[in-house]
Amino acid sequence: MCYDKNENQIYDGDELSSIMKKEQAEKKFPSYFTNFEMPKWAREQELEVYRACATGKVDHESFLNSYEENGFQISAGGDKKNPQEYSLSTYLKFKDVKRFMTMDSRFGIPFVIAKGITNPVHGICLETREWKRNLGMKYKGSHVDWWLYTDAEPCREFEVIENEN
Amino acid sequence: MKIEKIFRNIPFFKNIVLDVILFESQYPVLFTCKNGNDIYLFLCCTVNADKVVWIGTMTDYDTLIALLENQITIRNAFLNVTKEKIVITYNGENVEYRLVQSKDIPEDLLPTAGEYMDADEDEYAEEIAVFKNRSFNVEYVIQPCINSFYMIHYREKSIMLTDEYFVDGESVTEKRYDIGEIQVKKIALA
Repeated sequence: MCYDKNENQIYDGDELSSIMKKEQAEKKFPSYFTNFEMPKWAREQELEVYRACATGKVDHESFLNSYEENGFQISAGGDKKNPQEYSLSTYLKFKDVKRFMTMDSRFGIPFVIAKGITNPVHGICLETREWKRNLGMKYKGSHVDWWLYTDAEPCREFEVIENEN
Repeated sequence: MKIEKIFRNIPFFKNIVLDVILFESQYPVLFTCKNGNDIYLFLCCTVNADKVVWIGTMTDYDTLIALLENQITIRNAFLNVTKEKIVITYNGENVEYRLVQSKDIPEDLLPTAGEYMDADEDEYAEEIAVFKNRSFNVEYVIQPCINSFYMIHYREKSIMLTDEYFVDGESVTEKRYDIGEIQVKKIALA
């Protein structure tokens, strides 16, 4: 252990790298993420996705994960250990987010749909199709789960778009 | 969320089976179920911490195919075929259901008006093929006359309708009968 003249602890390059990796590993999912096991295929990746904006705006409230959107509860009858209870839902295809908004009672016209990127600075994500395929299951849609770090502001990566049909 | 297990709490859905998922998010949103010989279309319209709500309707394969071929809106696909609909609510423990007339379904539970599936070409080719294969709806228009029998040909098979298909000298507009593996469900008498 080394210290500078002010008795502050100092590190060599290897020590610092190790510390930084550990910090990233602890980075910083919300505490309730201990409820479930993250799918091993979830990773930092940049995907172009669409998000249904429930508030009608691209704001913090439209980009809450399902758990926080439900008032820090899982959905009725849901599984506390299901990782999807804690993710932000997005879609790779415009038509899929539009279908969802057509069918879900939260959304009325006009639909407000935002397009953006799953910037890794905000969290890690996984395409549901890839996930299900890895588990040997069929899945037809383009849904993407995005697990956000604490204090993430994913809305910064998005802007409202017009109909892309 | 096990849909079959939830739905089977309803007396007339005791043997219902999840059939084809037409659209899914983190859960099936639009899907069909088979209940005996009947086909149902269900839509999951609400999911929150308090409840999950589905609306359902008996449907037919022509309607499902039209939906997937962008010929009818999602709302109209749901409202078609029969006026009686079902609303199923699950609070995580108990299942409640109510049968309602289509005009009495709360507007916010219905799919947004005017929206189609916007399916890409071939996106639902597999599902459409399955539905077409299952669909045995055949309509014949027969000129009215009093004869002792009609001969109908369908896909190289023939059937004969005799007097017994006519009740008290009056023609009936619909009969169901079997021709080997083909089951013709409807015959319209002109």
